[in-house]
Amino acid sequence: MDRRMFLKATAGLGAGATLGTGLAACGSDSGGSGSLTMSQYGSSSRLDLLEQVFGLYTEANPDRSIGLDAASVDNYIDRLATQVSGGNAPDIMAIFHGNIATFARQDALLTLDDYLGAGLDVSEFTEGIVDLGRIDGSVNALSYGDNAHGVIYDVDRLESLGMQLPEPGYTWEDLLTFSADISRAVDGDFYGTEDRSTQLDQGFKVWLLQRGKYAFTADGQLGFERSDLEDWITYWEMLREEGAAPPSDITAEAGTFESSALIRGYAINHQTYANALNSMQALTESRLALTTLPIDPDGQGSGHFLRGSNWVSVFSETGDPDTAVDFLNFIFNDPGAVGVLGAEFGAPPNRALRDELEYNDAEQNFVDYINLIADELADEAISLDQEFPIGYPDVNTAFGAATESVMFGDSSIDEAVDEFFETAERALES
Amino acid sequence: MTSLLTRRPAGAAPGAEPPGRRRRNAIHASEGRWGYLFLTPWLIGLVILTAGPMLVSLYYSFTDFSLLSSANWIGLDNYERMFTEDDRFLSSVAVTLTYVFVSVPLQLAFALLVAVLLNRAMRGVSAYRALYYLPSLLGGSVAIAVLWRQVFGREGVVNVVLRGLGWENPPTWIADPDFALWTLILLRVWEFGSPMVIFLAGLRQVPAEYYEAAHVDGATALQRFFKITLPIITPVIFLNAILQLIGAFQAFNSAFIVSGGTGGPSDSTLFYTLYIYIEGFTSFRMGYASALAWVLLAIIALFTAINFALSRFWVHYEDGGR
Repeated sequence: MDRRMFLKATAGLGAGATLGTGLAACGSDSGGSGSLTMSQYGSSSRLDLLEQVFGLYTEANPDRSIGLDAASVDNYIDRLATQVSGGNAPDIMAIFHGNIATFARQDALLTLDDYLGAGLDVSEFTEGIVDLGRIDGSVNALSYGDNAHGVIYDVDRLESLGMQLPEPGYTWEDLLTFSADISRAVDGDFYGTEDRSTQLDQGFKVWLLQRGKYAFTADGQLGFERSDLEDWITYWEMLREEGAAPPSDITAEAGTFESSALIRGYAINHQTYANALNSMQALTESRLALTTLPIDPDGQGSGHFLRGSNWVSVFSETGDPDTAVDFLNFIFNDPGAVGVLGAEFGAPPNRALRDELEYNDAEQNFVDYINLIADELADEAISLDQEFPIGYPDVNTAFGAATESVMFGDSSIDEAVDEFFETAERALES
Repeated sequence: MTSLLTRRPAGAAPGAEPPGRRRRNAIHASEGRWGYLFLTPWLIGLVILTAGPMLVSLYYSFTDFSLLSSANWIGLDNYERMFTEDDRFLSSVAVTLTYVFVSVPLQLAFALLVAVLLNRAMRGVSAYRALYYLPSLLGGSVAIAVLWRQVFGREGVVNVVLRGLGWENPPTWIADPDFALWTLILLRVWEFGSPMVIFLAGLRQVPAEYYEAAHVDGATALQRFFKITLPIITPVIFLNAILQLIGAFQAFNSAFIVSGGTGGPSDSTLFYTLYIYIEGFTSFRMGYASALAWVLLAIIALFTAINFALSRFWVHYEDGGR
């Protein structure tokens, strides 16, 4: 055992021992034997569907098999990083979009460029979706499907108030008056909109793109000015003051979509990635529906752009990259596999198959929405490399801290913006 | 045990000293071997699971290790960054010190109070002891932290009661930066069981004659407590203070669960250990996280040393400390 191996092994042990992160016993020592492992987070019904696809793949390729390495979503990425560190990560791994760039920059992911069109067929994919996964110019991850930002509304509640789902093209000003009206109509029992001011990777990006800006430039620096952030925070301050959005403690209590203000009954909408619709619909009796985020009448375009939903990568040290890529090709392009998964991971990227599938109401609503975005509204694709530059976690934390401190009334907008730019610029230069 | 095994056979003559010593040495040696043999599982665990990773983490603290790729030596950069440009490090230290120095005294005072109440002959006292110990068994667990999140949430039991008492709009305790840390302090104080059990053992050792003598002299219950009980159990208080201080510095679960792993709202529950976790597994700066961990070790050692130094002034040993 050489020193590097020793350090890797003990690093895994240390992390496992101190934080209780389970070390997977499953190895990637398949050595071309055709037996691979794939890791996946999510509900048991999702994992069941995936295992059905594994079964189909083995049926089609009797000498190959895929084993499932299931893990809880909460500690999924700690676990995966620890597995990578120990050199025993799964051959194929589900991975969060925010972590792909970090993993790819450290050479943990297999670059897929050589397989595109040669073993990995992406000819039916939405234009640009493959480019989203480019880090330093190479494709390191593939999305199970197109996605976009959106707003999910509780339609039953809207209709009980005699209101309609806002049509794409409504403005930020409209959102303010519309939401304030709702809050007033129900006397503050719930609010006309949730408060998403603290999220860098949500509506803020749409708001910026309407001003022709991205959160980050292609060379990993901040892509917006002080005034953009000032306006953003001021806008949400206004919503809170008007009673359109809930007070800070309701907002701060929310975590993932399961504990969003919409699901807990405090707000009538949830601004998130559109693919959350189906999962959220499963949590409430009320009928939910998707619409776009508001637009800026003085700005340019809708600000909506193509994003990925769930992502998958191949471990750079897999013993059998050809089989791993072949399985990805299968899961994306085999009619049987796509039929089994349906819209579980997003709108299937293969457009021909996407159009043939049958969906439940929520899935259909999502697919229609995504088709609208992908075909009519989106600007150019922004790669994950640009979305998540080196130093991103610190910038994200600083964004949350700055916007929260105004929300909690701990600092003025000016102070908060100063603090953000100072921290963010330092994080990005190092 | 030793004296039992080495006791000279009753009939042995004083002149038979040399062979006896040899036999005794042989027994000692084999006893030692057996001892180590029985210790082996624990020793293997210590070396592989504790000492090894500790040493490796010391090495990593001088590197830019990211967990995903191999480490490069960067000298003292991590330590320098911590003390010169990391505001979040400073706020995590502030949060942790507040937590430790508020929760530990409160917890010990509460534990002592309950121990004194339970140290009386009354019906069913052992059931009460078990009952009061229960939170300590549960308190550190994930389940209780999840429960805490609900209890102190906007629609939690606490607020339902407060609304019933006429407070129309109580805060959401866990989501308000002014209160979130206090819910965690309360959770720690609630886990008073193990210091309570140690206090109970200490209270049992106070000789009854002292109380009788004081009673005869007309001392009140409060006087007896402060003049007799408290001085005699100071060594037990000291022991509990050391144990709980170290434990509180290492608290992690409650903040992790209640804040959803972020230390929020507004970093108000950013425990030092949680910050280590975030640096290691969210920002993937395992080298920096290792450096943070070693500084925590130094902080704990420092406060333990201060505690020992101060103990000379207030801890009284019945036997004069020998």
